[in-house]
Amino acid sequence: MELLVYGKVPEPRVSLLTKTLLIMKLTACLILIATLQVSAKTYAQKISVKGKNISLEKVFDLIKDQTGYAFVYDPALIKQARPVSIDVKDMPLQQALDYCFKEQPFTYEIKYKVIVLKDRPRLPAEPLVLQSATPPPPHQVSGTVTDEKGTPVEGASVILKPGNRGAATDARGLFVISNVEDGTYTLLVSYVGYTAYEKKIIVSGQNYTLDASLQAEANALNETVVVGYGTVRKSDLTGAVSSVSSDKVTQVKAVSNVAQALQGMAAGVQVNQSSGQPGESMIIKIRGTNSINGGNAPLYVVDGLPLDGLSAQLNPDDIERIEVLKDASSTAIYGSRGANGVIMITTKKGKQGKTQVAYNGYVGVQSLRKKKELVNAQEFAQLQNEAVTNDNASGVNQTPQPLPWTDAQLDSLAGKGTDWQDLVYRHATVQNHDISISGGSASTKYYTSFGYYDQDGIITNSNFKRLSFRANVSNTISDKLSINTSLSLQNSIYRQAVYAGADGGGGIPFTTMVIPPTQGVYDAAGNYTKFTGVSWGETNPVGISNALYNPTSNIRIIGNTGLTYEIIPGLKVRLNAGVDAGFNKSDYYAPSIISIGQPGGKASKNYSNSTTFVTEDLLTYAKNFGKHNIDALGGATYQYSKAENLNSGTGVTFITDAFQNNNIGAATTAAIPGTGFSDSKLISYLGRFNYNYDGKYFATVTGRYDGSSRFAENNKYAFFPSGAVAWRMSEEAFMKDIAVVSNLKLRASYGLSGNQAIGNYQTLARLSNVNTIFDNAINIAYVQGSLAYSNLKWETTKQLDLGLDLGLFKDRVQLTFDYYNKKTVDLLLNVGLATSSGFSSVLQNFGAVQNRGYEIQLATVNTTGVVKWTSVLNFSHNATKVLQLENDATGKPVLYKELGAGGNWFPTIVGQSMGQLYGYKVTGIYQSDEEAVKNGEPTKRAGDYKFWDMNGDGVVDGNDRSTLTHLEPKFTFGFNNSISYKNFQLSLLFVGSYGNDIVNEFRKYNITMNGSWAPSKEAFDERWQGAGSSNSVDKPSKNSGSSIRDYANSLWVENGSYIKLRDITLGYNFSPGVLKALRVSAINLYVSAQNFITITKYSGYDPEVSWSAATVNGWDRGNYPSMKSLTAGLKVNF
Amino acid sequence: MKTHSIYIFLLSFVLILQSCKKDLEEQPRTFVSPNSFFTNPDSYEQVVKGVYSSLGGLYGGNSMMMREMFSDICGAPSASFEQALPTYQNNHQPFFYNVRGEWSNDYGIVKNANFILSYLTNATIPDAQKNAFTAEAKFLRAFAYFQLVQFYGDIPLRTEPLTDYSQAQLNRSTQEEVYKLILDDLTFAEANLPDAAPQTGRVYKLAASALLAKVYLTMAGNPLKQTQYYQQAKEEALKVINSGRYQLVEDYSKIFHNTTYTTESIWEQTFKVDIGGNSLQGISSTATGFVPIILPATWFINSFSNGDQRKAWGINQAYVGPNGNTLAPFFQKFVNNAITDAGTLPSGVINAYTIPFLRLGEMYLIAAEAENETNGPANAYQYINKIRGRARIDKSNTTQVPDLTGLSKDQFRNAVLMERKWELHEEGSTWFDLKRTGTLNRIQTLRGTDLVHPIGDYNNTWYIPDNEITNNNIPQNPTYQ
Repeated sequence: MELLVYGKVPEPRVSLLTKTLLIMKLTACLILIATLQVSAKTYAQKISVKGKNISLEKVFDLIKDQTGYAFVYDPALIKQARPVSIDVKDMPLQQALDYCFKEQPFTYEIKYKVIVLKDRPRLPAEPLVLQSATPPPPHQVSGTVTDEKGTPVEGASVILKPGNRGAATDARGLFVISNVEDGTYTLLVSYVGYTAYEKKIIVSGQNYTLDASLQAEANALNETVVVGYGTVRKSDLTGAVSSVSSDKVTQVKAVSNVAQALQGMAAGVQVNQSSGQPGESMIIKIRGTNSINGGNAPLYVVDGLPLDGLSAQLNPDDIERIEVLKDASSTAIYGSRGANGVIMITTKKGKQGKTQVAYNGYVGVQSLRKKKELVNAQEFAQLQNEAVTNDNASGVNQTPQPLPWTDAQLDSLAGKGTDWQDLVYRHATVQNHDISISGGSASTKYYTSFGYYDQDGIITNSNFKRLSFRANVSNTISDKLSINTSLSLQNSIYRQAVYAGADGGGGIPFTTMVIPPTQGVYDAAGNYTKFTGVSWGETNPVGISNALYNPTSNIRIIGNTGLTYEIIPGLKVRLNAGVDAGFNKSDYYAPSIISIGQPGGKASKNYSNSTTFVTEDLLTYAKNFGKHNIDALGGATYQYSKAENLNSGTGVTFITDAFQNNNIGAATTAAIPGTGFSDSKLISYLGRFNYNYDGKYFATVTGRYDGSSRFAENNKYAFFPSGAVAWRMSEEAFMKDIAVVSNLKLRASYGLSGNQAIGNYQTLARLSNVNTIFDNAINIAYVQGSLAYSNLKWETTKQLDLGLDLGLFKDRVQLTFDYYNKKTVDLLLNVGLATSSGFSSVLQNFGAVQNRGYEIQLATVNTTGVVKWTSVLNFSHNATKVLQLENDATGKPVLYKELGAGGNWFPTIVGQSMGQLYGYKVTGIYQSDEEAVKNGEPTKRAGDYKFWDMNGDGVVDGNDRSTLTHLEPKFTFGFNNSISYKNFQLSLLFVGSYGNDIVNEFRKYNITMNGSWAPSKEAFDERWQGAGSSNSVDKPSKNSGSSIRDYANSLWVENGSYIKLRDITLGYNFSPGVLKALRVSAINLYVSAQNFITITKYSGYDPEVSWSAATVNGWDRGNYPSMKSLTAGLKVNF
Repeated sequence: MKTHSIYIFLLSFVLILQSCKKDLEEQPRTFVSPNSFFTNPDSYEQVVKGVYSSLGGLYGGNSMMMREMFSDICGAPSASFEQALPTYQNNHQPFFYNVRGEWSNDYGIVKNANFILSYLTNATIPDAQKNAFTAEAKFLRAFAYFQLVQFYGDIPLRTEPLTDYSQAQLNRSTQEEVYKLILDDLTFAEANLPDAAPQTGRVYKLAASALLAKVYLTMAGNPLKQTQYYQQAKEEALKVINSGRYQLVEDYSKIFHNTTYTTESIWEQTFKVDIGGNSLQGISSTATGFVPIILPATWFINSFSNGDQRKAWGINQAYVGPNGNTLAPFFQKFVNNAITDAGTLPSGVINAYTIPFLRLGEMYLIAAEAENETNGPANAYQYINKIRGRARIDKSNTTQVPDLTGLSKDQFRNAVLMERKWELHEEGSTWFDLKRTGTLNRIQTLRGTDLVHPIGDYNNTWYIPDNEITNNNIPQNPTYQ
């Protein structure tokens, strides 16, 4: 075929290498262009053409001049061209071309700035009817098929009945059925994943055109699900995978963090918002807690790139979908990192079609969810008087003390005093703005976005700000070769309120709760007052939140590129490389005017950076042999991670606060700088084989062979295999007649996955440097740090999963049920050693933990009609049980073990879930001194707390401690509803937890009647005032509550069940008339509220609370209270 | 084209395969392996110095609860310090932090000492250095075992470093065996340590003599009652006194609140001035509404003679806090009131006052006690009166803290014990003295109904930590009765 090249076109035949280089250049170019945010211009080429009956070639000329696009066509073809009448101004190129080609006997295709003319596609179904007998009728039926968002649907099948004449839509959604006789027909449009479109049409005397808009099926089984190193059709899935779509990810506003966005959205995923501090990580657990020491965070994989941890560094607006891989069959492909589940995040990609510009933003205001009722100033003064009176009478005061307040003073306090909660907690704003530009041609697609998130915390000076940028570009160079690049840049600044130290270090929520209302913010000299209830006297919370300077900034760059080449049909090679680089800086300056800055100001500055480089080489093969379908994957990956840091050390005492932390050299006590370095490597080989027969019987075999630098010489490599089978019963002939059941699939999988989440260099013998002081100077010295331990290996989780997918009434009701039984063995456990050896413990593989549970997801289309209501209910039950710990020296199993963060309050006990509160049971208040002696607490007096002498030996001591809590919920759930009526949409998300306790350690201060700490009003009213007066709160005295503060006890335990209206959003879509006037394609306005209703018996600020340790779930030590918020937002598609 | 991409794939696959073998070997850069470390005399010395690093924990809050607070001289501690009150009430438990802390701290010293001793055996460094380093490590090992044997009685006696974690278990040895090792180590140290410490804070020959004096005195008392050692206790103490190297500081208050050695110092823990590290300020200073852990019992405050500087200065009864209130009496030996005056919190405290492990004053009291036990009081007065005389506020007024005279042997014994409380309180030996002299029952007399369990013979040893019992499979000490 002779080709006429009109304009300058790249050489069509180029070698792979030059082509690759070209692609690289092109990609770089595109990224650059996207960065400059002028990509709309390159793609949404606008043209203006005017003319009547002008030749098509003339039009080409004009277009070429205006756009730089070239045209390629067969001269024979152009001869058939009809003249064009056109008058367009600033019309997008594609639209203009569509117009020009509408009446032409040929069509076009855009490939890399080249417009190629080609024959109209041949219609797949030629008319079967008596074509030869009758002359060809002159009419045709044509139109476009789009989805509900107006995007053209390619490959939809269009059939005209009777006659069964058919056509398929092209890339623009166009179809043409020609030679249609006059008559009445039924037009049927069908496309996988969409409800069939049906319309009666009458063809009489002229061409008939129509536009068909397809509605997605409630939950399309043909939807593609992202799994490790690939995708699979949902109907073909053999494992347990939950999918969350983009609208669900961004449903809840005022959320900075992916994990938080998953709350209530996926069965088996438990998310606990441990604090209200903006930008803070969440505690996320998938199917329970596997590991005691090895970490329980899932692996995050973003666009195929595994990341070492992810919190708020990803803009949720960029997320297209999230898949949570839960069972061994899905996670084993991630081998040594899969045991805690895998969260696969897919970011948005451009779609073919015109450029889409979208703005999405909201602003909101947040406030304290609930204020606690505490004593007022007068009551507090009265309490102080009572404490002194009682202590004088009982001899606790060896010499009687005068009362702190006179009656006149007491009276004068009425209605006065400081409400610390009002002073500390503020209304704080949150705002989010996101602009995205996306689009693409058949060959190149791009998505680029810019996001800004700014959330203030309800405590002064706590906030989180994030600027994010993303560019995702994909390019199909030829039928065989394509390239994908994604790049994410993120810069955030985070300021944390002081709260992590609880009662030490001036914890703001803690102090706010207990600081006396009789005290002011400033003393007579204008200095911040101190809270003297803690012996050392911390500056009041207003002072600390105002004066402390502690921002942390983070820059994170995540980028990866993948090249896919199809060697022979079905066989593809994929080369991926990615980098995840993070740069952190944290500043700290505590001036001497606040307690934590004493003696003269404390300053430090720390820098750290981390880099992970990943490369993956994969070979995939997919082929159908009749009814046998296979899909295989094999590959090798290499990962190198490195972290370095430089810490200034803390300089203490400066002559002025003016330096902040910018001149640490000026400190009177010089800072001792430190540096650190650590690296690790992971080398893996992986493979997967999927087989299905006729879409009915499925089998998957997966394996990964991982080698990690972290483990000892003999155990560097381990193999993680898994297998899964599934049976789509609904495809069987005998099921076809059961109309109710639209889908029924049974699944089973079993396999191993691992955990390598331990520190680097744990198996090596080390000599560590320490500081000793001789001659009043620091001397560097060395001590034996650890011995070599060559047996350390992976922690392995074996998991069985049995699942059921059921669709009823044409999938209007979809149920997914999974039962799982996981056993984690060879726990990476710090096994206790005889401390007389000089070593307290060594990391060994010992012990076992079981997690058993089930998950239900029920998705229903409740109403269709005018009011459309769909809902998804998630329900998860998990029971963790420690099966075994190490053996003691006699070979007997150790049944009780104290671990890191929990200490002896939260030991791990065999037979229970880990980290339960272990202590004394408080049974009431001693009403007399004799009662205390009789019960085995001879040092206690009437009015003191009564501890249970559990073993009845007459003495209350350490042997009377027992497990006091059940911190693991019996179940958690999420219930999400979407309701639409005309242009209105309402969504409601409920989340909840049932059957779990919370250890409210905070409460021990709130019920203390010692006159140093402000108690809650409720406790104050319940105080003991003589025999028989109270059996719940002890006697006012300076010793009040000392026993229940130091020893873990049942008074800290509260019911932690709750149900929460996590989010309610009311939205409105502007109608097409308005949109036309405004020249935009869609506007959605909404108002929403988060955490507005919480039903719980928990007395603390919020039942969603947890201290840092993942193994202790629900430990409230004065955490940053979570907030409620009201937001209003706008989405515009231009 | 096809072959190109296969090559690329194979190439990177092969690269990954190739890299794995040596790539997975870890190359740490922030610590070293012992085998590559010992190359020159300095390297050995740096590991000898490392043994001292665990001494810092010895006089911390947890340990001081056992050394001082659980004795007759202290009042009820702050209830807000975890586990302090039950310890005071004789209701401590094997899982308490203090019980575990003292044990692991002392065994940390033993571990580090054994480690360097094993490397010194084959060290190719000059013999003089080798012997001096060995003596220094042995001194510290003996010091640690001396703490352990007094607190816990029969204990695992480890003299070799672990080469594998599987060797972590070891049975208890008798106290006699432990003391034998202590004496062997200290005798070696006394013979081989240099006359002068290479640096202030490190040990030397006479420090070994002073520690030996203390060890002999202890062995002569309860529970070993090997009274023949009184003689040697006296000899070692006199060796120090008569060495001419030390002088009693004239004013008792000047012994303390220094950042480096005085003329009386034999061996002390020192700190870097601008960093500090003396934690005794935090556990004995007071503030409004704050009860410290270590505080003087009322009877003890009242027990001093008139004009005794050790009370007048040693126990501050008239301190006016920053808010204008007179605060409860507290031990002032290690407290810098300027820090409290400035309103600084314990966490912000920089206190670099030295803490004496061994000082000349105690050597006089050892000499007095040992002399009385061997020969009766006649020749013992000279030593005790030296200390009493020094305690006078007005040195010329002999009615203040009058010289002792005319006492029976028993009276003298009681007098010297009392003298030790006045002189050496908060210096870490108070509970040891009660045990050594069989007078633990004084706690019962003074605390009475404040005790959950009555004092008994079982109080002569503390509980062995619970984790040691389970991980080492050794029997527990006698429990409350």
